[in-house]
Amino acid sequence: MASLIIRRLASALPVLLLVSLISFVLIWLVPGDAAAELAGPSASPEELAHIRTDLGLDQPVWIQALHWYRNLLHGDLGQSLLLGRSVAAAILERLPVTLSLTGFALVITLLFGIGSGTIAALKRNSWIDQAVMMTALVGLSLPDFWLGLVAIYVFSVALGWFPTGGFVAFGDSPVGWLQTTTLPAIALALTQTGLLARMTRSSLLEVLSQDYIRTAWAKGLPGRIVILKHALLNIAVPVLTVLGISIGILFSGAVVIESVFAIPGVGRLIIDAVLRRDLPVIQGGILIIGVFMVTVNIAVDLLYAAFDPRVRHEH
Amino acid sequence: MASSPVLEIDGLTTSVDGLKILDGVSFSVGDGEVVGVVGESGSGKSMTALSSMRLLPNSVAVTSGRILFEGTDLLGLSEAAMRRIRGDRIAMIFQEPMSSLNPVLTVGEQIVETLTWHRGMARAEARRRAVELLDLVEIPAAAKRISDYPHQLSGGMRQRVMIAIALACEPKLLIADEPTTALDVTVQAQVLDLLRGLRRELAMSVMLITHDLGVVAEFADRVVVLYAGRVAETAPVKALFRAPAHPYTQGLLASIPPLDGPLAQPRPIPGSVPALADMPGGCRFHPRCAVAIDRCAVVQPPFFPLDPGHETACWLAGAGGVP
Repeated sequence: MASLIIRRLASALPVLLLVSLISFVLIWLVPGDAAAELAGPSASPEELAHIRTDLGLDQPVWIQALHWYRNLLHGDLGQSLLLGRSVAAAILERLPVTLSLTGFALVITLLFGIGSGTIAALKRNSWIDQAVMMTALVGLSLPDFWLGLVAIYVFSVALGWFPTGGFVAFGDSPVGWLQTTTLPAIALALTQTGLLARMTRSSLLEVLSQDYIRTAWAKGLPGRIVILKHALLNIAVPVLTVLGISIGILFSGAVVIESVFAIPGVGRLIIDAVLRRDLPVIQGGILIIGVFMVTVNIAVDLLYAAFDPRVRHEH
Repeated sequence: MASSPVLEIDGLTTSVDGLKILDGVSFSVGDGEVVGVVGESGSGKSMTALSSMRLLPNSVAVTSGRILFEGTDLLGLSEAAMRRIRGDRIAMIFQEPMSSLNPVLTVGEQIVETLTWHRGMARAEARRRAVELLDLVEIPAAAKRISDYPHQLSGGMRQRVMIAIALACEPKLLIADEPTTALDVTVQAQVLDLLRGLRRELAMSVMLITHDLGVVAEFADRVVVLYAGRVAETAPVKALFRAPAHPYTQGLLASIPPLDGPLAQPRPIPGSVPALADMPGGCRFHPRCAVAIDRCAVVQPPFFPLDPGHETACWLAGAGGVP
């Protein structure tokens, strides 16, 4: 297991290197002169020169790259052009907001996705099964930002149960956090819940027809042990595969949902930076999303091994 | 056969969509007796075994009959009561050792859970017992093997683990559904030897489902020959091989090449088991039977007793002239 962890971490290095390189190259992808684009048409030559120096654009490329990587190693992502603070500080301040929203959405996805998928499989072809699968399909088909807008209209504006937007940190007020994150988390989670429910149902149906499930029944075990222990443990691998992808989608989906619900998370930060052409923040945002995805993938790989001895023994 | 049978199947009839799979199957398994249930695929052997465990697929319904286990009709029990019998008093091993064990649980865990569930054993105690059981089924280094996962074991070893699971609670009746069919020939012999020894040691009754008459000859005390969901012949194993009464049994015996004596071409029975949807009237075997008479196509033959414990459902046997 230890060697597996080391191998996975090592294989993540090139990916991280590539992600950081893409972030670095971003500044060269801005059409024309990045500094002129940033400064706008009314900028004076002094302002232009100032921005160039700020971004280090007056240096040779290799020096710039060297600086970029040296700073990265020190956790320095540069200075925001507009926020008047370091990119790292801006991201770190907002990361807990996005992570708590994504985490909440993940809990909803897991609970309702696996739960309803399991019930649908056990009640196969009944009206319950059909209702769950129909709901899952609807959830899959609706865009999350649209769901968010409808949710705001129904539950915040019409019914007044939730605030229309904003964010309260969990540490400040757990109730406030729940009030501000419930709607966006549900809007964010619904698509992935639908996906996971369908995946759980089909995997479970396949597992339930396996010989070892018949063996479990033949042992005289009660249904709860046969389902929860013998069957569900065996759908871990397909479920984890979907989940790995889902977590990535939840995290990047938060970018849009945070804007809909006026939540000051990393997503909002990145969108604002894009709109205002705050290049260092965009670079930092890409990097942080990349690091997040790589981390999730390593975690999923390790969980495969934790759940399935056959994967564990391959290594 | 002992005076009171451990298992008595009486007129068992099961059907799918109104089509009869088993049609009035009756036989019994005596105390400590090994009864071989033989027939081609589609004859209803596995269906009989699964009925006795009450593990039939949802699409199959028992329409009539009784399955008495130690005097209690299993078909009348609640699911909860049946669960207490399954895996404890009646245990079953299956044909496919490669897929019958849960791939994500250690073999130890798969034995332990039976003991903790049925016997209320503490886990540590159940684990000690599991090692003993692996020893009993002659798995080398049992104390180490107990932490293995099924994929780390060979097919023969897995079938031994299946046997250990089945024997965990020292069942009164073991139902073995083609226990050696999926194994290599040399391993087949070992597993069969093991089963034979264990059955003596634990004084179990065994219902041995197989299509392999060689296995029956080696292991069974008595044989029930099934054809298309009906019993064709029941006989003590020696009588069956010496004087098979039913043309179907004779056909089965003629289809295996003899190992001693003059080399003769094996003669397979022409045709195949009829499909459920178009079962012939009268004796279900008559379209394939070389000696069928007119009555065979019309009236289902009753059982004609030949010797004590030997009876057959064939009109020709009833006519006095064993063909």
